[in-house]
Amino acid sequence: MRGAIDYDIHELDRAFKLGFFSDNVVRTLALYKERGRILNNEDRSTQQLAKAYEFLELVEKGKEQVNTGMLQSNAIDSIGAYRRSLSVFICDRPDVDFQIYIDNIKNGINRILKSEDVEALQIETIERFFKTISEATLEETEKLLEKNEDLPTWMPGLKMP
Amino acid sequence: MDAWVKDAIINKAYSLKETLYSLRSKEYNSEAPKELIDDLLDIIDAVIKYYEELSQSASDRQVLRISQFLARLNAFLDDIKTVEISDIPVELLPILERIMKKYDKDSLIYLKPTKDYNYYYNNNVNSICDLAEEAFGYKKETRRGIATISFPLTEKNNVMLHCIFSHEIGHHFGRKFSITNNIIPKIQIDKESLDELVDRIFKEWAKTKKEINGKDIGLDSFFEIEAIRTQQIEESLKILSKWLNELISDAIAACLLGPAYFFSLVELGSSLFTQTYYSDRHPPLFIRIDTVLRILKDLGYFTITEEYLEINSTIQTHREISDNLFGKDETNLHLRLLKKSIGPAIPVLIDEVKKFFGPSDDLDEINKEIKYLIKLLKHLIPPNEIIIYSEERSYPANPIAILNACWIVRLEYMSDIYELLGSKTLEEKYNALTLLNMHTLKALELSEIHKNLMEGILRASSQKSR
Repeated sequence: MRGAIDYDIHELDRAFKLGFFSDNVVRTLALYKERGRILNNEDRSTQQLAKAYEFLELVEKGKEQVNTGMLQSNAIDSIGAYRRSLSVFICDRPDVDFQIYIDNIKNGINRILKSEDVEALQIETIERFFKTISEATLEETEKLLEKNEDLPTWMPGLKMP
Repeated sequence: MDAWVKDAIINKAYSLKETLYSLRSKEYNSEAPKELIDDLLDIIDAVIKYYEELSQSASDRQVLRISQFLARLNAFLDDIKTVEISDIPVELLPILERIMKKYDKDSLIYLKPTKDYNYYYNNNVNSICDLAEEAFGYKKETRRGIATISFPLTEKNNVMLHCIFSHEIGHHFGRKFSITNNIIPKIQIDKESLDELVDRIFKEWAKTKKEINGKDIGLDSFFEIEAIRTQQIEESLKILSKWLNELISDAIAACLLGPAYFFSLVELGSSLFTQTYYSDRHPPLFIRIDTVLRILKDLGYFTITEEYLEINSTIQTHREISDNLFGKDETNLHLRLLKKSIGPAIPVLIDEVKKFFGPSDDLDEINKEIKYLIKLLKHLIPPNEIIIYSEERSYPANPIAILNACWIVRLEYMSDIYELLGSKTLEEKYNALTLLNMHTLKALELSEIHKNLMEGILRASSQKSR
């Protein structure tokens, strides 16, 4: 019935998921910059970057669905990923086409995963892309938490008593 | 962020753990709260481990996100309140558990009264476990679903209204079987309405000065239109997926309880929503009613109501409201977009739900039982048992038949009951309705006992013969 599922909580968890994911990608990239490579035994770092690559594939699927109007079962996530990437692209204002911008990020991630050399500028673009998404999700979760009256008031940075 | 502030944030994880440990030692009317507590304790440990791994390198953004996540976990405390058994319609619990186990043997059900005049479903524990897996690599081998269902405290004994429980269970099954995801590809975003909407928004947007971080952005209009279009499609899809969730739950509820669900939807829906209500969470009531009527007809449930004039007139009234309103309100561009886009998905939704939940094999038997039970209930005899005098045997009535009989008596024979009880004033009529509800609750309880008794006898005799 009305409010039968707490849809706001569902939205909140969706934003949290993307937020933690992008935090983890940024952290992995920071480790990579520090060491110049991903250590062989760091499965989690490899997983994070593989997921980052999958996210960019999702962006492309979202773009395709917006352009063709043919929806897939993951339409909300993929179109959402495309919308977020478009926002980052608009803010970043690179001097290239959107698809080239995404291909560049994908290519950089792929090279890191294959332990190939990656230019510092390319790493910066990847880092900026995921950092912007991370910041945007933090704002979203904050707004959604503020909307929820049942949440506590003691958390620093959240609702003030 | 200062180190002591960071510590203060992670300390909240420890205090939440302590609170959960003390709640774990209490008694509950279901296993669900303890399962939930165990999951939360594991997740908090994963959060602490994650924080330790970040150590001093944790950015303010990461720490703030952990803080927000702990606030999110804290909200679960509301789901672990002790509920007295006397505060829930205990007679209904075994029936709901049976329905649950028939389609999902591992999940638990937990009833919770609320001050709100409404019913709610929540299964946030699954969502938080998925999230913890993504964020911290938290994994649990076996996970039991927990369906927490809230109902209006003031209606504890209103068994007729409680047919809405089947809708809330429908939410659980809808998620469990990912029905929405299967139907989303059938949505056809209406291009004409979308183009008109995007054009209207773009014209408004073009009037404003576009700046990011104090700098003018001089992008070509293609990207602006593309961004607006993508956002509109995403927003519409989010609404449509919520609408689909509701319609799927309605369709499942109709499969589970038949017309009894339809009447409870009309009663609660009419008192909560205006007939043209349009929200981003629920489809307008007329779309819901239309969908439920379509599935009831498909399932063959209408044979139950054919004989009862008053009931048919109630159904007819709502069908007319639905038909009239479908053609109206075309001026609301977004509503038009939503309505046109969801249209092609509804027949698929009905077929998909029927694949899982219907039609019931024993529908003819249920129809016969309903007719029999009506005769008992209209004389205020609890309708718990079918007696075949010629064969000198009896068997417990089917709970679905009991609930439908109760609704039919209310809609068709209430004046007979008023006469029987001499009810004239509003209060006396309310008391008569309460009596009908109480007889039905009692019948549900007795039929359950009877069923258990028969099953016990069968078990004992089969053990004896071995």
